[in-house]
Order: sequence, then C-alpha cells, then structure tokens
Amino acid sequence: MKGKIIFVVILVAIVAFVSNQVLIIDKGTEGQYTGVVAFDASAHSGSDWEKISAEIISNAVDINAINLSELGAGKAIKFKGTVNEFTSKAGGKRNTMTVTPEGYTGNMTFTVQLGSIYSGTAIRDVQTVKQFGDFTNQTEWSQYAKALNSQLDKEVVAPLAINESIQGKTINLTGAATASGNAVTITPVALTIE
Amino acid sequence: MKKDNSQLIMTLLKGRTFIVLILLIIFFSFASPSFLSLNTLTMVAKHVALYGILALGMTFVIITGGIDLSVGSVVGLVGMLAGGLIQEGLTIGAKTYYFTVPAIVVLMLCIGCLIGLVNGLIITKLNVAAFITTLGTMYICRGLANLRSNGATFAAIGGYEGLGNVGLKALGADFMGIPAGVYVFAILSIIAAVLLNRTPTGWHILAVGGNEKSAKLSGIKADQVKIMTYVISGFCAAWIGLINTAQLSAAHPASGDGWEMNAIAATVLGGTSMSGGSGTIIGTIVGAFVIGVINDGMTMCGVSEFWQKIIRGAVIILAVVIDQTQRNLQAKMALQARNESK
Amino acid sequence: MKRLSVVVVAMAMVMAFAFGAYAAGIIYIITPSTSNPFFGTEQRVGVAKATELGYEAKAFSHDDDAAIQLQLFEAAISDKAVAIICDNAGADASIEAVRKAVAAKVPVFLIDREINEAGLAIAQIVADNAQGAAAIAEKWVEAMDYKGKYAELLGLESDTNCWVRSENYHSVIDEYPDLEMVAQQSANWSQTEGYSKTEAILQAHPEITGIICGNDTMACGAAQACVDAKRTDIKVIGLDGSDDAAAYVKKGQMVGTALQQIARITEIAVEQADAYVKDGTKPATEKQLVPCIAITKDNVANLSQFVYTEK
Repeated sequence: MKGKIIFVVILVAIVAFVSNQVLIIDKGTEGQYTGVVAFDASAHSGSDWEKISAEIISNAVDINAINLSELGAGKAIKFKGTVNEFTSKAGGKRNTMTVTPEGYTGNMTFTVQLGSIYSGTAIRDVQTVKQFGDFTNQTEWSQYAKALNSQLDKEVVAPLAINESIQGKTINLTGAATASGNAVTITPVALTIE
Repeated sequence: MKKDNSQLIMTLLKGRTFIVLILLIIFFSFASPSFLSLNTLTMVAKHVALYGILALGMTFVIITGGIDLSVGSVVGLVGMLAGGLIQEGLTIGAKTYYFTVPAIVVLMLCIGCLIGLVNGLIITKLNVAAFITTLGTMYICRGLANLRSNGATFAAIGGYEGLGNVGLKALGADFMGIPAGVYVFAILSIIAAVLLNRTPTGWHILAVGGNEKSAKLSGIKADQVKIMTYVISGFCAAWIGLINTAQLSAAHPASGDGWEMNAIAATVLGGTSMSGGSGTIIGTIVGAFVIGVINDGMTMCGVSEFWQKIIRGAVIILAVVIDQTQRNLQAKMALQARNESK
Repeated sequence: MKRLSVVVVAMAMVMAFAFGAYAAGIIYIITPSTSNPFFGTEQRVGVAKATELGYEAKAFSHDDDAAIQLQLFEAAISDKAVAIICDNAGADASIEAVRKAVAAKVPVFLIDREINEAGLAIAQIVADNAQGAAAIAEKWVEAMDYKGKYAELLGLESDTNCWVRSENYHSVIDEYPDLEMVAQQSANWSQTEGYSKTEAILQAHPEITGIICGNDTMACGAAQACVDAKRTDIKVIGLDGSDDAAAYVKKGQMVGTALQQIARITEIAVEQADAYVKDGTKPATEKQLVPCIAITKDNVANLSQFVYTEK
C-alpha cells in the first residue's frame, strides 16, 4: 500500500513537471520560432535560369570547332543543322530528335532532348553560376539539376510545341552536350526553328 | 605451506579482473606511446561509461538469473524519441508540443522504465523466458526506432532558442575536463552499489537470484523484485540513449546495435554469475573498464578489428574459466578446512 | 601458473602487431564493414597509398555505427594521428566526430560520402551517388521500355546513401507513369537478404519485370534469385561497380550498375592528406564530386577492381 502511494505521488510529480515544461504552438509554424527554411531547388533554379542560359549562350562554341571525343561530362555548344527524325516515347514524355549539324562529316550521331523529361545533369554541369559547395549535400545538388531541366522545358522547349512536323526543318541550337561512345546528347538552352 | 600458497592464489583470483586491468594498462602504455596520458584515460572513461551504465542495469538482471537483450535497442529508440521531440515536437491535432530538455530527459527515463516494466511483466506474469522476451523487445524497439523517422537521422538535436528546447548537448559535453557521461556513470554506480549492498531491496535481489523458491518461502515477492531489475535496466539504457545522442549531436536509429553484448561481457568479466545469485557493482565497473581498455588500447596499437574481436572473445572465455576455477578451489578449501577441523 | 603464461604469450602476440616501423606519422583509415568489397577496396587502397608515401596506416571499420565511429576518431586523436581518412557513418551523425578531430587539429579527409556541414573537413571527396543512381536508372527505364511493374530493394534505412540512391532512382523512374512500383523492402545492403527478399517478392508479385537495388551486393543477391527462379526477363540494376556485379552484367543477368570510382577517390584523399601534412596545402575546394560511370554490357569489360580504364 505504501509503495503504491509513493508510485502515484512520483507519477503525479512527473506529469506536473512535464506539463509545466512545454511550449505549445500551432502545427507547421516552427519556422516563425526557429527561422529555418526548408530547401527548395526550384526556388534557386527559377532565379538562376536567366544568368545560366546567358552564360551558356555566350560560352557556346561551334560544334565543328571542337574535338567531339573530348566532350566528356559536358560542354556548351552551338550549331545550325537539319532535323532527321523526331521520336516520341513513354507517352510523349520522352521526345527526342536526331539532327545533322551543317558542315559535320564525322560518324557521331546527334540527339537533342525535347522533354518533357530530360535525363542527365548537363545543364547544371556546364554552368558556373552555382557550385556543388553552395548546397548542403548531393541530394540538393541533384535536385537543382532536375529543377534546371524543368526550367528549361518551361522556358525553351515547351513553348515551341514540337512534333513530327519538325522533320526536315533547319534549326539553330545552343545547348549543353555530352558524349558517350558515338552518341552525342544535347540538352537545349536556346532553340529556334527556321 | 601448501595452504598459504593456495590462499595467495585465492586472493589473486578474487582480484583477478582488477589485476588484469592494471596489466592491460601497463601493457598498452608500452605498446602505444600516447596511451598513458590524461587525455587518453579520459577518453577511455568516456567510452567505458557507455557500456558501463548498461552493464550496471544488466548486473541486477543477471543476478536474478535473467538477461536483458533489449538494452541496445532501447538506446536507439530513446535517442530517436528524444531527437524527434526536439526536432519535430509532438503533434496532436492542430497543435505541436515542444518540451524543454529537462522534461524530455524525464520522459525518456520513463520510457526506458516502461520498456523494462513490459519486459518484467511478460517474463514473470506470462512466464516467458527472459532471453525470448527481451529478444522480442529488442527487435520491436529497433523497429520502432527506425519507424520514428523512416530510417532518417534527427540532426537538429541542439534545439532552438525560439522553441525553448536547447541544452541536450550538455550531456555530451565536458565539465572540468571530464565528459558528462562519466559523471552520470559515477553517480549511477554509487546509487547501484548502495542499492545492492546496503538496502533490503538489494538483499532481496541477491536472494531471488540465489534460490527463488526459498526466497519466496521467506516472504520475498520474487516477481516484483524481478520486474524491478528490468525497470532498472531500462532506466540505465534510457540514460545511454540520451548521452549517446548528445555525444553524436544526432539521433541515429541504428545507435546501440549490439551494445547489449558489451554490457553482458562487462558484467560477466566483473564476476557476476550467469546462473544468478552473486555479483557486485564494483566488479562490473572493473569489467567495463577491461573491455574499454582492450578496445581503445588495441585500436591505438593498430590491431585490426578482426583480431580485436578474437582477443575480446578469448578474454571473456578466459574470465569465466578462471571464475570456475575459483569456485572449485573455494569448494576444495572449504572441504579441506572441514577435514582439518575434524 | 600455466594460465599466466598463456596470458603472457597472448600479450606478446598483441605486442608483435603493435610495434610497427616508425613512420612519418600515423594515418587512420576508417570505413564501414569490409564485408562489402567496396569498403575493403577503400582500406586496401588507402593503406597501400599511405604506406607508399611513408606513413604508418591503421585501418578500422565503424560498422555503420556512429558511436563506434566517434570512439575511433577519439582514439585517433589520442594516438596523435596526422590525418584521418573516413568513409563516414551518416551525413548528420558524423558531424560531431569530425568536429572533435578538427578541434584537436587532426585534419579529416572524407571519402565516398559527404557530411551535411561544410568547413570542417579539409576535403570531402564524394562519389556522386545522385548522378550515378540517375544515370543507371536511365539505362534501366530504357531496358524496361518505359513500362512495367517493379520492386525496389533499399539499403540500410538509417544510411544517408540509401535514400540518396532511392530518391534519385525515383527522380528518373517516377516520371514515367507506366512504371509501377509494387514492392519496396530493405535488404540492409546485404547479399543474403537481397536474395531472400527477392525470393519472397517473386512469390508475392510474379508479374514484376524489374528490380532496382540500392547497391551491388543486394543486386547480386537479387540477380541470383532471379536466375535460380528462371526469371531472366527481370531487369536488375545495382550501384557500386563491384566485380561481382560486373560478372552478372557480362552474363546478361543484370542490366547494369554505376561505378563509384572508389579506388581513385581513396588515392586522391591520401594524396591530399599527404600534401596537407607536409606543408599545409589544401585542395582548391573542400567538396569534390567524383562522377559515377554507368556500367552496362557495352562497357563492362573496362571495369576491374573498382577501376575503370577506357580501352
């Protein structure tokens, strides 16, 4: 009996103590108390896009002026060329076109990504506006690459509403190019159809 | 002459763990030039505190003939719950509750006791073997720890001024050059030693471990005593959950994985018998230091982890072999004494 | 007495390990468990390079336990190590250990994985898991022809890389609505668990045509389970670039893996540690991202012992 009374007294004391030591706030309002803001890649990419596209456009070199085997992880390039074939896969989410740059005589194939999903991180890797060190970790860094890709789709490719009718037309293209084997993949930054 | 000799061996055997500890310290001081320094010894004490506090609770459990495999997982779970309360608070409905650090410490110690209580109740009231019960709670607690954050780490355990929950890191900090964990270890050790040696409760624990039936016959509530030892073990594990989280500045759901084994090893090295009935707190503390000195000493000597495991295992077996030898010798001497008196 | 002599012999044995040759300093190399050849490579290459540069190298495993890692760091500090090379046990949980070493003026060089804090370590030479996962996931969605049901084997859920990889797999895969994940299980980076979890998943969801795995050991387990179940139509990918995975890729039993160039990363780290110890030279940037290489049957011949050589 004595033990039970002591037990209850301790329990009451704990409850009284803990309920006295608590701050109750409205759910989701922590930011007002801590000043911490969650990371949002699209917030960065939105404001950076203009600078990045300007940088890539001004740094772009003509595709015939560089050694294509040295493209590696990415280089800003530009060329005028003819569209060979437009391909649409995955229900229109993965559109690409193959092109032949003017004056090119080698045996590489050139594929331009036309969204709405873009693979790779070429845009992020050729720009110098933001560095890996500006982000907390590689997840944020990769989210940034994704955000840049969707930004380019919104700003550059989607407004053109490209479809099969582009085949045979002449285009002016600036973008970030990567190479693997004989295939060059280009993620566009500026694209005009003549 | 022969009798004197065996008495000397007896004395040596009784203090064997302590002698081994001294020998180890001397050995590593030669083997690694920077081992015998205040910094290194403080570091060893800090590491020992982690296993040592778990071993304190384990000593009570093992004295009653039980075992508590859940302590390592309790360390992980308590850490995650504490980290979660600091970083995310407790959301009920549209309100989020942020507790102060003292409140979190009290709550977490209660959680530790509660898990111990559950262990104890299942073992005594449902008659499930201690090994099985605590194996089960070990898995449950580890699962809950991972579930709390879906495996992620709580990193912001420093708390925020604005939320009034700063301060847990103090448990991982140094005061006057000595880590907070060592103070906790010292205080809990004293309480444990007093509890075991100077109170009726301690006598009950030893009695239940020695012979449960006769303890019951002499009016001891054996079930209550057993339950209490698991509560003590959970309480100690909760402290480690808090201290470990504070030391790492992060709550990690895998924390404490396998630490129950270190605690058991320290307890056994300290002379507590796995069959129950005998054991001392001071022995456990020395045992924890032996494990700690071996771990840190071998690391500083560059002994590979594989050899470390082998040597640790050999030391534990050796300790039990010597323990057995001592018991046999004791029995022989008692017999001899009786024969002589005839 | 006999027992005492046993103890003495045992101690003499330890002593023999203990006394290494005197060197330019001690470098600690701390990695996860070497039961994964990936981390074994870190220790092997790290010890070899450090020894070559005249250091005494001590290699340990923290078994992905941040508390053990902290203890190893503290041991390194007490041991007056000149540098610590570490593949850490968690982006957040490892910060305190690195901070401890920095406070004790022991420079830290992180390899493979990063920590969520800049300005502590001298270098963080990170394998770009995010890019690697996305790159191999792109090969996989292609192999799946952008449709079908699949399962995912996650790594140890408390490990940062488990989620980095999973998130980046999904950043690619989830954009295709015809790819549907029907099971997601943790196999704790383990080959045995990868095998048994795959067996169970194949029982429950025989309709799957793909399995994405957080690392190569799990992928090898999954691929073997598919082979044993005669389900060679299932497209398996992993990530690491181990020789075991390469063997499955060669046999066409795995679509591919992404090579983290860990041998190269470890060498760079030891070289940068050496430069820093000698005259305080720091690398140009703390965070250095080393890209992964997507390995498929087209280029698997170039892979050996975590080293990729273009032929």
